[in-house]
Amino acid sequence: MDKTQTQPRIAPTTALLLALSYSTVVALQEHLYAPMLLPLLLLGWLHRALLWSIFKRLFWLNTLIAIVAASMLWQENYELALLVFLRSNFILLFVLMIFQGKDEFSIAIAMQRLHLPHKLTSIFFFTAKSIFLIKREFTLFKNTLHVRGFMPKTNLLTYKTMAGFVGILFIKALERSLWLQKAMHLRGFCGEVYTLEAHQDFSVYDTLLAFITILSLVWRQGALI
Amino acid sequence: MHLSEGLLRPEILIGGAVVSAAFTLYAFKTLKDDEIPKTAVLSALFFLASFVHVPIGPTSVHLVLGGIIGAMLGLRAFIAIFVALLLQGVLFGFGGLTTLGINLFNLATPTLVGYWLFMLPTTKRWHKDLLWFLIGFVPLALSAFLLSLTLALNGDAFVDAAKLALLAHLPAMLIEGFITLFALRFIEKVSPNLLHVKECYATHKPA
Amino acid sequence: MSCSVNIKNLSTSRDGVRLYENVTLDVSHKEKIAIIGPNGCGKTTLLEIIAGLRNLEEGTLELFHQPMHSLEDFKNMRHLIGYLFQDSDNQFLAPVVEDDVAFSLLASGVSKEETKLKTAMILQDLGISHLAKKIVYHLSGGEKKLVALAGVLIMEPKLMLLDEPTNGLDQAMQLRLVDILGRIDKSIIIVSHHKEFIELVVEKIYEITPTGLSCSLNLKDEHNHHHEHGDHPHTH
Repeated sequence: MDKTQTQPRIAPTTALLLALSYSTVVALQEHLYAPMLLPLLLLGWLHRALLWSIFKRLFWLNTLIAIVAASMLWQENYELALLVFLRSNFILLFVLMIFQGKDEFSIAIAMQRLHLPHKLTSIFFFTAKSIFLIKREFTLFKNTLHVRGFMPKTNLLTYKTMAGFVGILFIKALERSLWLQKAMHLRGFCGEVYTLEAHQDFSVYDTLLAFITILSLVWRQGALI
Repeated sequence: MHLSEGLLRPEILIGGAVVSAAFTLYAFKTLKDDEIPKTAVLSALFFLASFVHVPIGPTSVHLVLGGIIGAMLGLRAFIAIFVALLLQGVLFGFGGLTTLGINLFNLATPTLVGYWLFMLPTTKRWHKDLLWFLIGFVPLALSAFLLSLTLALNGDAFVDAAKLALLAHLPAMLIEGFITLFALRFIEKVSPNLLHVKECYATHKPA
Repeated sequence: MSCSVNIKNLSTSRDGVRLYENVTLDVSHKEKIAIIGPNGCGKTTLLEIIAGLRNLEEGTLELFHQPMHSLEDFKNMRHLIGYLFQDSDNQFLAPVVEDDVAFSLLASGVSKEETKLKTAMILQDLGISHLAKKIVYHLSGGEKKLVALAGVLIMEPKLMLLDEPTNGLDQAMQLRLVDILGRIDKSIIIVSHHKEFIELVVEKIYEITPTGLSCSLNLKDEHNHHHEHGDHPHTH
């Protein structure tokens, strides 16, 4: 990819595989161990410039986790509350950091590199494309409303305006789907979106992170809880 | 609407994954190339709906739009929502990878009701309006119910949170109903033919 | 006479309203023509009929002397027709420039090695080699148009259909497009309402009216013209 690399990035393929491994293993644990923090520390160091924004996002993702943990504290089930809280946040932090700076296109390319079925990767490619294009309409509409001085409030006008907005998005999206269908016909789509090159190169960080992540999942020392 | 990573017991994670995988694989195996575009764009809409915040009182809720997407996709909604949830999970941390199965089950199964409601024949205007409201309201209500049920089944310690979650989703259901009703009315006014093509994609036939 | 497109007595309607009828058009081998007309008059529809994206209602259509009766007949013609959409974003299937340019070639079963060479060549030819690894959607309108064009040209079609190719392009990019299209040795049909542009590219301009096509401008030698095109209605 053509991204100007300001910070070391993990290849999306690596990110998908490691996130799947880390979250699957950690989510099923009854006990958490200190080494599980190792990949988080490495990722945190790699993304040290962005830690503040990552933790801000982590905070907002904690709503449901906070409700669940709070209700457990209420029941004086402190250990379970802590386990659930840590387990969730370990995984969330891992995912937020490892996918930092990646977009829908790079995920689609990674899906293809992982040799998933062509039909599935095609959908990922076209969904990524649609997300990009619909997001553009979305921003345009929001700006128009803003320029016209529209302030969302709890009233029928707001709901009708937003419904109109949703309606427009659907119409535009369905129009795009018809164009996509035409493009597929004209350009000879037969079930696959191809890539000429790998596009996503592995670096030493991929190897290092893979090693540390696997180590963290098998090295059961220093129980945290 | 998304259950986070690390909350649920293995039995629930695995059970959800197995059931969702069965539905998704079936939808996927029968998916024709011609249906890919519509599935992909509606997947994108589902992905983006979570970023549309509708104010309600001092707070706001985000849209889900599962019902209307189900209405247009039928069983294909499983594929669309699968792709959207995976992307939301990795790019934004909504839901996640281990919870993908159970979240997909909770969110996609109710959209089939949206499809069924959309297919009901209507004669009177208010019948149609009511159905369109329900296309938004019912799938979201069912999803919220399934989410709470998932939490409740996860253990006694989760029951309080389950009740709270169900309660917290009440305003979202109403908003989703109204937005869906007015959005469908808008589409009917501007491009009515978009609402007539439903059969093409839903019944396993290429357009 | 070698013809790329023969249309006789074609009529089209949209949503039950007749757009035009009795359209007759011959485009000979390597001839470049333009079709003009007001917005919503059915110019794009005409291109879509020629490209086999839309069913023929009335009249006959022959491509390279083969009658096209149904959308099935177009299957064997696909690789001979290159279609450039008005909105380039709609054209793209792969997110990375070189992959999108290579798409049709790879889909038709050409090997990766050969495709790589051809892709590099065509990017070079259009002067966009530096874009090869970029995400298509992040490019400017003009760059997108060139990438879309490269994706069409790589199949070496015999007939190119261009829908409003200058839409959203700045002056410099328009001139670049004039130069590129001038070098292309194929039959070209451009649909546009950008007169200054098409006059630099095509030999003939037809105007679409509810009663058919009329030739509003012929920049070709009068003598040749008479031989190549029989007796379809036209004005000068």
